[in-house]
This record gives sequence, C-alpha cells and structure tokens, in this order.
Amino acid sequence: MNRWLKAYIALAAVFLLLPMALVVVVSLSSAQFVIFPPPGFSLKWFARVLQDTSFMRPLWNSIQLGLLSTIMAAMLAVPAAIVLVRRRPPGAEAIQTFLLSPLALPSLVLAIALLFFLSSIGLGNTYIGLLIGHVVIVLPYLLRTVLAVYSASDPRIEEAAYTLGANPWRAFWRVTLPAIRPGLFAGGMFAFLISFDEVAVALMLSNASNMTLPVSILGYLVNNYDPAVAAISVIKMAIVVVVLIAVEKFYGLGSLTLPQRGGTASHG
Amino acid sequence: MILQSEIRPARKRARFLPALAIALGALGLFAAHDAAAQKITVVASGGIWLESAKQNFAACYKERTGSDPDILVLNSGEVINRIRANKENPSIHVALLSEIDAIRAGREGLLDKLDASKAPNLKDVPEVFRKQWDDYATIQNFGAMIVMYNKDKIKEPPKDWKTLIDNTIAGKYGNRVSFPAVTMAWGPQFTWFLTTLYNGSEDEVFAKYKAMAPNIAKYWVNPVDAINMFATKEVDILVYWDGRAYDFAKQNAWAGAYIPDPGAFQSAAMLAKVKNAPEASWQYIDCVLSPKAQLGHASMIKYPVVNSKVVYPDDLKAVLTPLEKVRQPEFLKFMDKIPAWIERWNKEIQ
Repeated sequence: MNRWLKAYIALAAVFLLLPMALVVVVSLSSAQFVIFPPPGFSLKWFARVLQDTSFMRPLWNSIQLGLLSTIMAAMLAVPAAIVLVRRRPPGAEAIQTFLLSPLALPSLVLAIALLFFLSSIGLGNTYIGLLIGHVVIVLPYLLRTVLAVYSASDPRIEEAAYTLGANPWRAFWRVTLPAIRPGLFAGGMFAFLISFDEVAVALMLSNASNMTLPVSILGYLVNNYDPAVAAISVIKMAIVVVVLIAVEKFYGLGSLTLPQRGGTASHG
Repeated sequence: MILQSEIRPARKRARFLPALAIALGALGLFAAHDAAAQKITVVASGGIWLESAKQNFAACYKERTGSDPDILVLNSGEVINRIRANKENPSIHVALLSEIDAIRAGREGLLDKLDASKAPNLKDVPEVFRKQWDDYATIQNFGAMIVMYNKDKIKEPPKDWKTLIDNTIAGKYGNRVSFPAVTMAWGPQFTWFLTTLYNGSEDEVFAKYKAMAPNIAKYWVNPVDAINMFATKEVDILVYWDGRAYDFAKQNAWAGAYIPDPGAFQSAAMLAKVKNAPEASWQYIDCVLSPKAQLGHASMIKYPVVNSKVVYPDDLKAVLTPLEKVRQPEFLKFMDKIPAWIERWNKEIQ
C-alpha cells in the first residue's frame, strides 16, 4: 500500500470517527450546555440518562423492535429471494423492484402514508402498525443482500440435494440456508441498525408505550440543550459496537463478505 | 430429481396452517397488548416539559381517576397528522398544538369546544387566552422572545427593538448577532411582531431583515443550535425565548437577558380536547388548568401560566415575562400570509 493511499485511508477514518469522538467528549462534559471544549469532565449525564425512564424504556423498545422487525423481514426476504432467483416467475424484475421500492421513497413520505393507511385498517399507532412500518423499511436491505448472495451460489448443489433424496425443507435447511447465511447475517445486521436508528416512521406510528429511542432523543433535542443527549447517543453507539464485537467473536465479520465464486444469475 | 413444485398441496397446507395459527396468535397477543394499554393519551414537549407534565398534570389526573395517562412527546405537526389520520378513533386525546395549528384544527372539526361544565378550572382562564381560538383550545403556558447578551462584550444593550435592528445594520456588534429566521416555527409570529414596530409594513420588515443579513452570524431555525451559539460565545446578542434565556443568565454570570421596549410577542402552547376522545380527557384538561398544577408547571419550566388564581412566589415572578409586556399575535390577520412570507424569505434573505 503506498503512502498516499495510507494517508487517504487515515483521512477517511478521521472523517468518520471525529464526529463520534466529539459526541463522546461532550457526553463527559461537566457543563450544563453543549460546549466544546468542555470546561471539565463528569459522568453526571450518564448517571442522569441511566436513571431516566424516558430514555431507558425507549432504548429497550428500540432493541426489541429492531430484533423483531429484522426477524420478520428475514421471514419475508428469504422465500422472496428463493422464488426470485430460482423460479424466475413472470414479472420477477418488477416484483424485485417493488420489494426494494421503500428505498426510493423519502422516509417521511412513507411514514405519513403508512400512518393514514394503517389508521384506516385500525392499526394506526399500535405496536403491530409500528412493526409493519419497520419491516417495510428494513426489508429491502435484507432482500438485497440475500439476493446478491443467493444469486452467486451454485444451483446444482441444491439440485444434488434433491437428487439424493432430501425433501424441500431439508434441502433448504442443509444447503440453501448455509449458502445464504452470510447475506442473511449481513443484511440482518444492516436491518437491525436501520431499525435501531429510524426516526420518521417511529415518529408517526409509535405510541407512548412503544416509543423508540431516536424519537425520544429527537423530542428531547427540540426542547433541551444539555449534554444528556450526547450521553444517550454514546450508550447507543456502545450497543452497536458491542453487537459488532459479538459478531466478530462468535461469527467473524470476515465471513460476512460475499462469496468469491461467480454465480449464474446477475443480481446484486 | 425432486422439485419443490412436486410437493403435494396437502402437505403444503399441513405445514402452512400451523404457521398461520402461530402468526395469528402472535398478532392477537400484540392486539391484546394494545387493547390493554388503551387509556387517554396526551402530548407534552420533551425534557423538563415532559417531567413537568408527569409531576404536575399526570399526577393530578391519577389522583382523580386512579390511572396514568400515556404521555407522548410530539411536535404540533405530528399531532395534527395523527389526529387527521384517524378522526373517528383518535390516537391522541388531549393535544398540545402551536397557535396556528390549533386554529386550523378547530376549523377542520378535529377538536371539541372547551366546556367549563366539564373542566371547571376553565372559568379561571381569562378569555384572552381562548378567544382567537374560538374556544377550541386554550393557552396552557406562554412565553416571549427577548434578548440575551454577553455582558462582557455589550456594555450598553439597546433599550428597544428598533435600536437593536439599526445597530445591527450599522455593524455596531460586528457579525455576532443572531435573530430567528422566518422559517423557524415561531418565525412568522416574530415577523408579525416586527411589522407592528414598522407601521404594519411587511416590506419594511423584510428590508430590515435583508439589511441586517451581512451582520447576522446566523438566522436561527433550531433553538438548540441558537443557544449553543450563544453558550460557546460565537454570538454576543441572541434573540431567544425568555424562560430559557433567564435560566441561562442565572447559571452564567456573563450572560444577561431582558425585554426590549415596547415588549415582546406572546408565543404559546395550546391545549385542546380532540374530537371523539374519551370523556376522561376533560379530567386531564381540568388538571392542567388547576392552580396547583399550573404553579408547579411554571416553577419547573419558568414560563407564565394562565389560571388567574395562580400566585407566583417572588423569585419565580422575577423571571417570568409579565402579561402586560407581551402582545398576542393577531393570527387571523397574518396566518394566511405565512407561505408567501416563507417564499419571500427563501428568495430574498436566505
């Protein structure tokens, strides 16, 4: 790696990490306001948010919602990917575009549309409504990665499993699922993080008992100017880092990269 | 080779039906959870405002009814959208709205008229706090936009708004001044207030905005950004909300806050009962307007409240903008001009 490339990578790393480092520093400020550099250091804002149910309950809600919406999106994305890649039904391209279309809409527009639609069927501002909203938001991320990985896998391996007498469920469990696991895992991680950070849909669809952390932070930010928001943001970042470390330890981030072998289809 | 298409339909059904039953069961559990949680839902702003709503209003409501209200932190636009989305079975029962949204919601038939027979504390709320809203909403608490300044840098703060504006145009404070933008939520109200200082002329006010622009560090839109600019001493003069300004000045000896002559415009949080909301909503509204809860609220948020029976202690009174110093905007006269003002702002000033 030449010197310029190293410098470029270092610059990119600083560009990405500096804002987060500033948030960490501000969260440790002893000042009553967001001032940089802080006049002194204190853990009082962490103590404050850890005792504040208006932050901690939404934090737990966000984790639950992120996990649940990721699982439900996976339950939709995997069968969709299998059908789209192996069966190629008429209009497969159109179906795929339709399933990825939430990515093309501004999330606020999607949120308002969901609010009016879900309210008209009695699900507005309910947990189911919020879950549906988040599944719609995260599904494209999961579908995209599963499609990419599954398209690159060799269909003859599944055919071999069927030839050797495996029923469809066994073939899926023993052959297809291991083949798509990297995509499922990477997409699932994206999906969880997207849900965990999502504001617009939660702002419109949540209620008092299932309010998410980003909505709570937004509400706090509009009316308050102390570093408590920085402290809760650091906790939020820490959760993401812990998830990544856990993935690395138990699964290996390297295994989330796409397979090197070429496939027969052209998705991805 | 066995293909998936060869699976017999009966086997498919056998696998599908239990899965469907489990899914429906799960949905049923969620629905039951939502149904069990059904109670009145009210709105508050975040942070200290939310704490006050819990400690003062919700506590009173619980004392009277035995149950806690659900409190949502939402802004006025989000509240209106939620009410519009489900008029027959609203998800919000007691709304907190901006002044203009309250007028619009009343006109759209989204609110019930306030009724003193159902919320008796309304009798102690002077008519001026309800009249422009045709009794579809009442002011819950109000504030004013005043001037904060750095005492170390500004030895003689301008006594009145016009002098502040002229000095800013003349560059007396460098470019270390920040005013609210017209695009800020209460920017149109501030613009209306300035027109009252300049013979009702919008053209003159926009000419002043334009002339000040080179010496304005930032026309602020976000209140948190604005106070941060002042706290970090990026600006020496900031036009800002009174309660927060006095609170900041109390904690920072170098900061001052005052009301320039001839006073300030009133900005308010509007309380309203949503149409088709449960009757228990009246109890909450009555609680919000009760003297005890109102005083508790004023003590926490440092903004004046509206129940005429509230008696402020001296230390609190010293940091509340008195009613005689604020002018209530004539919303009906200018609210329809707001889109044109914002367009003009975007074209001429921003």
